[in-house]
Amino acid sequence: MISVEGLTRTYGSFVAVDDVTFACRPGRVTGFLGPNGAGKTTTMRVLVGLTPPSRGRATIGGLEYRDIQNPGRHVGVLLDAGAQHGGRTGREILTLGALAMGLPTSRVEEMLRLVSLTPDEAARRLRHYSLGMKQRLGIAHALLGDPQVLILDEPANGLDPAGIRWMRGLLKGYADRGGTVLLSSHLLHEVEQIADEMILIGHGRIVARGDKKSLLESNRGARTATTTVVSLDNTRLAEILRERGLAVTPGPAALTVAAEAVDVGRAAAEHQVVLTDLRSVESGLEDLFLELTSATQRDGRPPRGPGQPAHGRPPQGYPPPPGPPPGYGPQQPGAPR
Amino acid sequence: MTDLGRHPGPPPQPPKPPSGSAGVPFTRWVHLELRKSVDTLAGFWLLVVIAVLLIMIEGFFLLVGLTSDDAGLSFTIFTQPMAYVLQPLVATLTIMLVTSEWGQRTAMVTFALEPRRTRVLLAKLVAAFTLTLALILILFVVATVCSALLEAVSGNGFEWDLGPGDVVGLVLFEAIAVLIGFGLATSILNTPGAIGAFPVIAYAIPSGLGLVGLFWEDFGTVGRFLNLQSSTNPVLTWSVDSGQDWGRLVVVLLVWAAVPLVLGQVRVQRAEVK
Repeated sequence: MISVEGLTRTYGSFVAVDDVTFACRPGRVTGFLGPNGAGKTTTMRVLVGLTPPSRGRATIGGLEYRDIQNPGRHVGVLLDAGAQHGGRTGREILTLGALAMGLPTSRVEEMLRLVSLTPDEAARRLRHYSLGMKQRLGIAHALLGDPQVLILDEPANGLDPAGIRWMRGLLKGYADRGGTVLLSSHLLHEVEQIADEMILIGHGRIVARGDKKSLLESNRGARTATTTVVSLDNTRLAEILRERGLAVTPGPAALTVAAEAVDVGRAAAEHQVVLTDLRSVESGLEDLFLELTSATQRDGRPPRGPGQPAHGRPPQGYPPPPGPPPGYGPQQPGAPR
Repeated sequence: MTDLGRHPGPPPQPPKPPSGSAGVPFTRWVHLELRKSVDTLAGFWLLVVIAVLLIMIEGFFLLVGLTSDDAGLSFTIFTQPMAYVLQPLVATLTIMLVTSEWGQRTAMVTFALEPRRTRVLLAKLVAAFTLTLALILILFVVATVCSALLEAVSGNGFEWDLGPGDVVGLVLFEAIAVLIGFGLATSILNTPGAIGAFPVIAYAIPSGLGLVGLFWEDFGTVGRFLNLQSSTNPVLTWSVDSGQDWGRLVVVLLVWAAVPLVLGQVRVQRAEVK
């Protein structure tokens, strides 16, 4: 439904979006992930025609945004929940949208109920809204026209945990009914639970894509296993493990070992050290995310946990997601274009 | 992926093609712009203040008329001078219709609902004309009431001298102010900037040109072609006669209306709406 092909946007010599190609399919939630300034918002702005692309194409349902008639009825857009007149009430903002799209005003009340804004809150002016209320209103505005495609920039921003869970359910239900969702975030844990598919972007380029499982698996080979262990005698256990040539970093309570859990357990068993806790550190998406985008992080390389060796080479060879649509070529970091 | 939150919903319906629905009719955008001009406190009170100001000044004229013994007061006393009161006010109103979208960043939402930006701008222009006409209507109603009162009370030769030219002239005079305000708003895209620029064009430059012209005659002759007030006054009094009148009017409209309008069009089309 959403198709972005070879999209590039430059500002002078600065390349905000660099040859980005991806597609979002109906019935799926696609998460667009990347640190601040990675090019997520620019890509979304090009999609809805607010920013002209320097090169490439972005279409929704095969049409460029400006060619869509009454686009509010087809594409729900939330780019910035604060981009509304502070002097208008929430209800008035939705009413203006409904009038523009040619919808009955009863739709406004429906949407207010859907996003749990009370009549009292809807009668308040936007400048008195909290960020979370603005987000709810923005989501209501995006859903007004009952669109088939949703484009949401940082929709979870400002929502409380209950709000985030609510939104997750809302978007999942929406995708399950056949809708196409593209949502961006710089917070991975928000996206990993909603998105069927993730697109990681850094420095304007797509650095990885796929579902959570395939992303993690593809990265497994590139990482060293890490295990944390607590025993009744950590000092002795550390000696034993070091004798076996394993890197051990003692912490306040636990030892962090650069080895598989089974190796640590075996060593402890052989020397009859009683273990009270042994767990394999699941290298989460968080690490992968930081790693893939670290070259573009404003703060330089992210801090690493104790005992985690630094990876010199970038992970490579992400498998394409199942059933790639046409024109959906794998893109690898650093690959010549 | 977890399966939490997944539930077998209704079967996915084939998505409607995005070209399926009809475009938004232009009249709807005009209607929306009119609604947007009054649904905020700033917009609403601007209109109220303009209307109240009109009524107060007309009331003052009426008082002067009632207390003076001068004969020969006429209806246009209540309309023509008021054109100069309305002029900056309708320009301000027009400017705010345009620039508030940028100041409040609602342009993002508006242009996402109507990517053809020219249509949005045209709707704003039509809305500005409509509001201006409404204010002129209020002006004429109040002027009629005041005139009737004045005639009834003093009765000494009040003249109902309003001709069609006076009405058309006043409407066109205000329309020029709307166009200039619109050009400034679209080319500057900033409320204080555009509102500040209008008095420069309408008052500061005409005064400056006039002053220099006092001492340097040749400059004065040329300078009159840039003088908004002296060049548009014949429109108001419906007395654009000579070739020079027309020439000055055309030049003034070109420089102060057409050029900013074209610049504004280009700017709005190209602007990245943040």
